[in-house]
Amino acid sequence: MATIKQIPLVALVLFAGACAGAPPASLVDARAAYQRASTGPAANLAPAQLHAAQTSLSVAEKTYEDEGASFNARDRAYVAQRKSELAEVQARISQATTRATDSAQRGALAEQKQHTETTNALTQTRAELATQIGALATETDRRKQAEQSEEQALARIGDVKQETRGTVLTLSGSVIFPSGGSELLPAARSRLSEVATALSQGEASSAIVVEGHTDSVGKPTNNQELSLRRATAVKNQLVSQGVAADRVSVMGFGDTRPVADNTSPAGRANNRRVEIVVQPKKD
Amino acid sequence: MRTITCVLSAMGSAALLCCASHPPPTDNLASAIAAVRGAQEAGADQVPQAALQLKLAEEQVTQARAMMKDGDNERADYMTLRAFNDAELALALAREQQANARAQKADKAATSIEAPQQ
Repeated sequence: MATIKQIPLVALVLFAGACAGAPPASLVDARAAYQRASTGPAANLAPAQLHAAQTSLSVAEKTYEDEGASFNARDRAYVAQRKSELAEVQARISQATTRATDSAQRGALAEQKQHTETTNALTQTRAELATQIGALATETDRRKQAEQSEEQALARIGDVKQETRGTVLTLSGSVIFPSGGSELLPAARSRLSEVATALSQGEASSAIVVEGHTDSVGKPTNNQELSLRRATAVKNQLVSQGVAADRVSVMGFGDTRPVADNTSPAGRANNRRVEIVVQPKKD
Repeated sequence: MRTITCVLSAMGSAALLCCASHPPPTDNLASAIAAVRGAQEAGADQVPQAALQLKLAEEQVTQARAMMKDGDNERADYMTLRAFNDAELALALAREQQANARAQKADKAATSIEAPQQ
């Protein structure tokens, strides 16, 4: 009977011995997994999942305490380990999401900055362009006014025409030169002074051509020389009155370019002339 | 001797009762299967670490079914829990990989805006 009574006791001792032995590997792993998760970023980033892992580990520990390394205890430890690992993964997902959001914000900021820079540059370019357009309009107006005032001034002195070669002022040869001579008459000097003044007031960069013309009386070579001498005399007078010498060129056409019939005295008088051509500025 | 027989038979009956009283874990099995499907749909089989967890979960579902068939409902229940948690982990690992890819892409995009290639 004593032996019989001892059997459950032995079983109990053996059972207790099993309990006191090393815990199963799954529980050891579960403890390590929780230890790692609870000291890592999961503590802040996945607290709910970490709490679930802790609860699960407690259940596994209790089961091990009650049942030893039973299937239940090992399965519960296994589950607890997965829950700790899940908490860690969720924390890492949270970190990656934050990185993505930060990068997106960084990109948006950079894009906004570039947009602002482009807008500013565009505004500046527009302003510069407007200034240039304004300056151009002012310059155009100024030239136009200069041309008009020049033309008006010349019109008071002689016959002014607008031709494709420019503004042409025709001075009658009989008024400015003695017959056959190339010395300016005193009256011509004052008239040419007015011409010089008008040209100086006008567009300073326009070129001036002084052309001499004669009637058909006399030898053509003589006429050509005479017309050149007269044109040169006019040029010299203009330059002496302040017109820049390099603006003025001279040409002698002799009787080659009549504007009227050479058979009548009136026609010949018209052909004896000096034309001052103000060429429009080329740009 | 009769006492021993009595004790042993009582323990045996208790064990049988215990097993017989545990209902089939149909709900937990369904949850585990759903979790496995979720992980599969999230592309867990394409991510090495996630694929491993997914495989474990799938095997454990199979094991749980076999245990239920054998009438071992209690073990089957815990096996479904293991499967469920492995599947959840597989899903999270797949999502982690996707989140990392998104973060990398966003970083690259931001960098290219900050310093555009000329």
